[in-house]
Amino acid sequence: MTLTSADEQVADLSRWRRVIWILLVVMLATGAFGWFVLRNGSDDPGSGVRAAHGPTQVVDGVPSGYSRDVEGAGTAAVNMSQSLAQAGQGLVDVAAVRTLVVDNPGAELAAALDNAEGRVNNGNVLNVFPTLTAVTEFTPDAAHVVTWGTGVSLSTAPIGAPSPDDPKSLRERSGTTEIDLVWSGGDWKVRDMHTFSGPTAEELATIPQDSPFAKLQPLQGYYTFYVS
Amino acid sequence: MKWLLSAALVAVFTLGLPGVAGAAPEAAPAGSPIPAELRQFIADTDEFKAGPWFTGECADRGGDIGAYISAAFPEESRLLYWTAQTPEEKRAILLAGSTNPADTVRYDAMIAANEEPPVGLLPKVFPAGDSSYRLPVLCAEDAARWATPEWNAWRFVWASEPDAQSLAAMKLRPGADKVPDEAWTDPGKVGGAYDMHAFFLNCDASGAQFADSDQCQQWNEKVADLFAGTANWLDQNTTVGDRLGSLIQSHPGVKVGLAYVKAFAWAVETGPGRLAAVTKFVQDPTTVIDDWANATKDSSIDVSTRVLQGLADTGKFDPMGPEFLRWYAYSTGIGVVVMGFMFLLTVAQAGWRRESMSTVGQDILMWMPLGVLMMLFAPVIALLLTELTNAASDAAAKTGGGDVGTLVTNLEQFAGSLSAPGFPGGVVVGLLMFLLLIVGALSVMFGLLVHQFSLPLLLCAAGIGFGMWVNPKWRKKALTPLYVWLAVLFSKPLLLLMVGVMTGPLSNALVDGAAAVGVNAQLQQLGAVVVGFLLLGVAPWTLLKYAPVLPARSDAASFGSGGGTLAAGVAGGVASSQLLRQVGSHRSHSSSSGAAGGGQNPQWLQQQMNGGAGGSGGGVAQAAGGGSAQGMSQVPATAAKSSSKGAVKGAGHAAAAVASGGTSLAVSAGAAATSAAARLAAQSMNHAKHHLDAAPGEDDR
Repeated sequence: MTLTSADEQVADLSRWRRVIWILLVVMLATGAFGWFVLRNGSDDPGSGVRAAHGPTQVVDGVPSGYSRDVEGAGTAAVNMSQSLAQAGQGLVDVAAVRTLVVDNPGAELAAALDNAEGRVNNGNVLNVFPTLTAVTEFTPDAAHVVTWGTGVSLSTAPIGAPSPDDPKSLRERSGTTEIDLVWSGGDWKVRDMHTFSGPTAEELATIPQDSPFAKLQPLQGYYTFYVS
Repeated sequence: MKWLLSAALVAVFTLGLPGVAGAAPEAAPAGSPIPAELRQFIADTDEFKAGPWFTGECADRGGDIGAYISAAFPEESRLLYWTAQTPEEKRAILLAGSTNPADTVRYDAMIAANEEPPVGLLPKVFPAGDSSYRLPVLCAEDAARWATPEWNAWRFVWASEPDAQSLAAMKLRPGADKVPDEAWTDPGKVGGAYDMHAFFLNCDASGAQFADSDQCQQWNEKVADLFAGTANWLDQNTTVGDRLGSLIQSHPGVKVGLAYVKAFAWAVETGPGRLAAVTKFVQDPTTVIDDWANATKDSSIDVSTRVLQGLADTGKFDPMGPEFLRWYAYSTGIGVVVMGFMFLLTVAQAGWRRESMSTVGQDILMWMPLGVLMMLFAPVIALLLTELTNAASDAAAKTGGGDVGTLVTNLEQFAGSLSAPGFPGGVVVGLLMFLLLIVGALSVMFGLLVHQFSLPLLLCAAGIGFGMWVNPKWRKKALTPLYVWLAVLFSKPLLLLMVGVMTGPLSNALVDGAAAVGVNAQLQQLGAVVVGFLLLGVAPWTLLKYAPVLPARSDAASFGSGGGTLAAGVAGGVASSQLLRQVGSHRSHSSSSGAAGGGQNPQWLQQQMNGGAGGSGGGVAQAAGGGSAQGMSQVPATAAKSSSKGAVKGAGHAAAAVASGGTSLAVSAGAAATSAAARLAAQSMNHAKHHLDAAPGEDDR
């Protein structure tokens, strides 16, 4: 028994329909999966980020959304220090940084935020590298974090009168920052911050037993990403 | 008697100064010799205030001193010439080693005619117009955080040396190896251009946020470039360098970069010969008294100017600081124990005296909980008041800053020019006046120290005192530290406002009086300065009389009576009347109200006191209204601090707006504020005295 041409046409049409349905289902499934991944459980307007201990989002150039554990607190503290450095260069709105700060911050942090207000980006590039980060005290509601790191700055031109012919210069400063965090509103918020100049890497080449640095237990697994 | 003395002091001060100034001709100095294009570099001139350094990103941060210095560099040699303090110095600059008598005659004629000398005659300077050594933007308020705040044109003086990390980086700059080692850490020893351009910052001084300290270090590195260029330039111009060095040595103000932060202030309203170089009081001392006179003159000038300059850097008390809160917690712990004893005492006393249940109920059900609430909320309320007074102090300091800077300059120049031959009374009177000036200046300094240390101590005492509120007799005594605390707190903006108010007339007296006719002119001017210092210095000391450690009237009586209110009244009267005099107003209300604070109108004052006490209680009750006992120590504190900061910031902005809104408005507001502050201080101290008088053992119920 042979199929007529009309039967063959019906069979072709049926196959095409199946193919189209399968394609539609695959497309819908892919779309749903992609939407699920990108949404990542957040309705906030910031762009999505996936990291084990946060951040989960970046709003106005400032990362936020950290896990309620030691690593999350350490990451929050480090990113806060870096956000403040960005704000001090006029690259990030201080109002965005203030969303990561408690309503009544300590005097030094409040002064640092006030000082960062209204800064104009002058073409310098300053990046802060928190080389050592240790969470020295931790409860689910509060944490004390100590970071030691360097700020490396590249002047593209003298401030005020930029000229392409001006020589560039690289600067490096070492500093220690102590950050007090509290868990509030589903995220770590900074209550206070104390920053001290030094010690330099040379001074830390041999750490005396009575130095606070001798007792630090720094976190491991440090990665870096850029937000711009 | 007290009010007579108060009125007399007010009269002496308000009338005495015009008397001093009035002895001088009213005419302004005859035409400033400073060329018009240089006036923009001179502090307090309109051109300076309108300079481009007060625009741009530093407009709200005290101005861009980097732009100022960079703009002044090309004119540095002319500025050195035109700000030379005497014709002799100008002649020395022009002669530069020439021994040709014809040159001397020619230059003297040029100096007398205020002619611009040819460029070739002026000292060569570095970097002059070399734009590669221009300095970056540096806002004065930022610089003050990395240096030392001081009352001058830019409100700071440079750090004595850079911080260690900056210094290490500075020494690595190209050509820095040619710079003498001492130039980095003690440029005064090296002298010359290094000393004049030692624009060092200490980047460790502030919170050292990375963005902050990076900008600071960038500045230091540019200064290192300047030093490296200077070293190279000096290598090629040895003779010129020596000449510049000797010139700078003859200008005390230009050392360690002072010329630029002072913005060449000594040139304001001065002409050739108006200012004399610092001279010995006795040129050829032959006796011990002569030596003493010379020594006390130097000391008095140094201490008085330093105290005035240091007023901008007085300590600020943070009642929410962790260290203070720790001690406050101890004091309230003691307060709770005290409250237990006071409760038992109150119940026992009620039984002995058969007091009504309503009275006992009021003590136990109202005052005891109120004492507990005050223990909890006092730091927050203190924070509100402290920030309010800090904002007022800042506004007062900014308003009066320029005047104080001018006063310092005038004081240095005036006192420096005094010498025994022209001074009434000769060496002995001069010695006495200089000693009094030292006493006055030190009293101002110690008064500020009292202010700094008494605030935390008094508040801790108040923390214990809150436990006494349950007992009607001890309650009144327990209020004493609170009132004294308020008085001390408000005395700082009052003091700064007084400084601003006083410096105008004093400065005028010093400048105008230099040309005054009459043998007593110098004595009167120096007397005005001494009285001014003593008045500023004595007021805070009178507060010691009301220290809360005094147990009863009998003890307090040994200190005399009424001095505190007297001082406050005098302060208010003086400040108000001087302000009002400045604007030519004939309003006398403020003056009289200040005098009333000194005890002229006890009945009126008593009414004010009652009103004040009611307001205070209401405020406490209102503050205590929000929150459960469990969360009171945290949540309301947070809310109150946040809201208070907003309110205070607003108040500060308003004060700043008033300050910048126009002279008349600022002065009017200042007069009102001074009067109010004086009245408040007077009322507070009267409250303290009143409650001391009603101490236990002297039943007044």
